[in-house]
Amino acid sequence: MNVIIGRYVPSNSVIHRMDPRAKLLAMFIYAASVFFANNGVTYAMLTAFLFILLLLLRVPFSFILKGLRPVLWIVLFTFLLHAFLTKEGATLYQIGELAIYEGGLQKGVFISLRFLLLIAMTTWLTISTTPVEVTDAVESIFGPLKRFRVPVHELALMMSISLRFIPTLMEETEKMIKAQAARGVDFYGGPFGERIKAMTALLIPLFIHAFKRAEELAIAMEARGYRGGEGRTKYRLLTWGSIDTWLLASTVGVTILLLLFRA
Amino acid sequence: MDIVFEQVDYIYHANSPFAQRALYEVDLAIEHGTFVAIVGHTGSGKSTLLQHLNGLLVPTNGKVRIGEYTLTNRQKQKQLKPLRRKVGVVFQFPEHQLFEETVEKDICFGPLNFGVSEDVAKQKAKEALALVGLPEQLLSRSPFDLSGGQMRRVAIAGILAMEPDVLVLDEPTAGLDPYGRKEIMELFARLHRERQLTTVLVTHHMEDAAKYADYVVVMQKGTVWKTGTPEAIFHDIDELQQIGLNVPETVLLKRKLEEKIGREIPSPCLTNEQLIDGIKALFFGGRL
Repeated sequence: MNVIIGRYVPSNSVIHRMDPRAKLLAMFIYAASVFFANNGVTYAMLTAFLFILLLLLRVPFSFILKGLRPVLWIVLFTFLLHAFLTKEGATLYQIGELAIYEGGLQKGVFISLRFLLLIAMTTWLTISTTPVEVTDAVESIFGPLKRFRVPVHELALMMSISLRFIPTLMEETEKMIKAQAARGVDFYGGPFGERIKAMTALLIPLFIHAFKRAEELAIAMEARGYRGGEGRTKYRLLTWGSIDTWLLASTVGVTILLLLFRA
Repeated sequence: MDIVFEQVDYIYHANSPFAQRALYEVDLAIEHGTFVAIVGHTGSGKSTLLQHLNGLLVPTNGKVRIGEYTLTNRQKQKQLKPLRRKVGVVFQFPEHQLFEETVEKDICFGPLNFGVSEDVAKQKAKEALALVGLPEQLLSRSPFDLSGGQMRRVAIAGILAMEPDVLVLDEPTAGLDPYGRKEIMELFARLHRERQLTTVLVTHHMEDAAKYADYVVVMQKGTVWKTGTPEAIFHDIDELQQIGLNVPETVLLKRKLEEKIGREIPSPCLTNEQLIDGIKALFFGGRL
């Protein structure tokens, strides 16, 4: 369990205390602008900006890097694919049929950097923001769409419920694996047919249980007077401070600079 | 099968920042044919200990010997199947593991996994269902149409059909009404006698531990705090209460009675029957 993508790390940093809406919007703007970068200057700007944001997290940098390690393979693969398959510019190196061109190398670096920036930015968001905060932010940002009868509240609720139950489901899966292993199921080998059987012995009880739980949850919510988002107040109020404006303004600023400097 | 724990440590997520130690140098010997109750507070390591009995977990340090099998941290998962046939584990809320279309198929699932032929498995399913006190007509029904209590019995039958030598029970009566609890416990007591099983029961009900077990193992903070006969374990009420455990109601009643009348009741009073005998002895022994 050393993958940190999507994992919240508690801390009391400036970033952690920011309004989740600001962080979410900043993440979206940043992610969009990454696709407009197309030369060294613009990529350098994006990298520097992200670097500052990550430093402000006050989470050990080595921890973030370690967590990103599993993704590095995909990044490396992307790099190699582009490096070998793009045939532009001068030839740099040639081994038999395989040749690396200048354009390919550049493209490989840029594309994998783009990949890395996107992942690092989303990690920045999830490290500093609890899933509940993210859903609150989503609900608030898309709130205006309620006028067009988009069920924003319901969607946000679905999102938070599914996030809430991921650990529960994981725990249950582990228990079920053990219970069926005790009945002689071999999850680690055996012929194909038996493995399919092993999977049904695992998945069917899990599904049945999940459905049952969903029903119970619905009843429990109704019993406590839940009837959708209409007139519902919030326990955690989102407050927009000057620091949030700063974050958003600087993100927009970087994007504008990027548009000016791109080739 | 004799079961021996030698200096067993177990650490969850060993070698990671999330490492959590659950067992500390556990030494424990369970002789063949005994009925052992494991009691302890939540988080005392009961469930972790129990999962070592059929190799669902293997010790991080130390070793566990079960009959001719020895479990150490170098154990391969594949070699554990024969052990799992001999050690049947009934988990908490075993009805959650039902998945087949019919009760018969579900009970046959275990035996078939251990290489029993289909005809024999069906025969065993029939016997196991009778054993848990359910009518044969249920064999063709879907397990999901049954009541909660019936589902529990079907799940237990699924383990019994494997004909294990060691029966491991993790709070088998959790969530049952008092009558259902008594019936299930009587069933296990009968099986223990008739099939010469070794039975390991994890429970929160001190009454059950006192009534059915030959030995009681008290777990506390990941280690064996005390072992002994129910009489010995439930003798020292204050000591047990200090670690957050209770003693059977009858033992508490005995103590109150003794304080009131200033005499000793000549019985350990672990069960209702013993309590009645003790009071009778007071009356008719001419000592009152």
